[in-house]
Amino acid sequence: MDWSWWPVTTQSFNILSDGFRRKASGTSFVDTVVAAEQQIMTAFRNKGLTIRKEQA
Amino acid sequence: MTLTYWSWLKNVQKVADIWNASHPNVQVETVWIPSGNRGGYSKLYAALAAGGGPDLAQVEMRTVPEFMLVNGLVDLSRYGARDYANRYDPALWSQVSFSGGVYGIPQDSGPMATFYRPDVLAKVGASAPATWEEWAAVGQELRSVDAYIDCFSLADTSYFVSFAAQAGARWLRPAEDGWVINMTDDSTLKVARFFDRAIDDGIVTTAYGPFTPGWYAAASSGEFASLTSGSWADALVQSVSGGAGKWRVAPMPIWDSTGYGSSYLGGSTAAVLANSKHPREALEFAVWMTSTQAGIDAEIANSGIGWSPVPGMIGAAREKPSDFSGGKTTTRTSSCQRVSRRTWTGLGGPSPRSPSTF
Repeated sequence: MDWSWWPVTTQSFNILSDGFRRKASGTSFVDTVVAAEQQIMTAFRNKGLTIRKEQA
Repeated sequence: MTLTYWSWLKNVQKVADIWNASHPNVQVETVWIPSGNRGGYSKLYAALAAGGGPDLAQVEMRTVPEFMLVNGLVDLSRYGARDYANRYDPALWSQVSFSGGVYGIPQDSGPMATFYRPDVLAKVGASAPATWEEWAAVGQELRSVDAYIDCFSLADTSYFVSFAAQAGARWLRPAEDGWVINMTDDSTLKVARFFDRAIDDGIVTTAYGPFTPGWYAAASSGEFASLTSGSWADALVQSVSGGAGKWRVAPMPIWDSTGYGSSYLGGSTAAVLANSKHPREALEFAVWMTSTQAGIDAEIANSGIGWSPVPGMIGAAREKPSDFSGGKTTTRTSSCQRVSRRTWTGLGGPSPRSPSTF
């Protein structure tokens, strides 16, 4: 399995769980994952790290 | 000299004492700290910032890059760590290898499997599901007998991450020009849609996560047919009241044509911290503890570690049959390992990390 951990893992897990908890009020996991990606990119940049979205 | 080692493993001093008996010049003193995000990491970060801290510390696999970000770990390749690489599961070794360096020694891992109750599944004529599609279908049937196939934790997203990784996702990768993210790949979205539907259809409960008081109460009353979790969950499942002898273990369900046969949930390293005055000796202790028969047996007996990071050395205590195997010769743990080996090793590790990543 090709998997790497990254420098803001804890914050990333918290971002996801904050979103997952909104499942009951109608926010789907799909919506949460899409939003989390943007928030995690911001978290990287706030740490001074360079990050970009994978090109299709 | 005396090395200090901070860890939340129970009774790890007893493990160190075995080393100490044969290494009079390199004694190891352990200090218990709260587990990672429950306070242990805060103590470690504070100690590092003050220019101190222990020689060694327990750092989860997934947290190694966070400690690297604050220059908190020693690159052990400078002290010969690569000489020991062939002892360890390549998939785990790759998770401590960054930017050409080695930043921790794998201590344990949690290859995933499905713990299940044959008697509960039998109420709907089912056995352990082999695919996630079967899992959902059996879960639907189980609702007719007031049972759930599993729970889904909204608070602990590590399960979701492990399921996505099993399906083939790789959310972050280091590249020459920095990190590259992809959380909206087909695998991740498939897993997200799958659990969206599982919850919408009511086949899992989100009322509590695994090993919470609510889960234990429900598991005790036969409300759960299965739990897909790390290999370390065996001890916790065994502690369900009235559950002795009722649980079995099977490979976790697979995502049909894509992904891998299993995944990992959890796993720790023994890392050498940046302010250590004796990194070479600290490395030697870490390697002894995690890759020798004496070290692994002592870690299992005293500290209840997860799955050994050394292929072929699962620990004497785990060679024996257990309740999970129904008295057969195949142990619960070897079931986990076969799944893990088939799916994780031999697939090639991540490519070398770029120095520009950190």
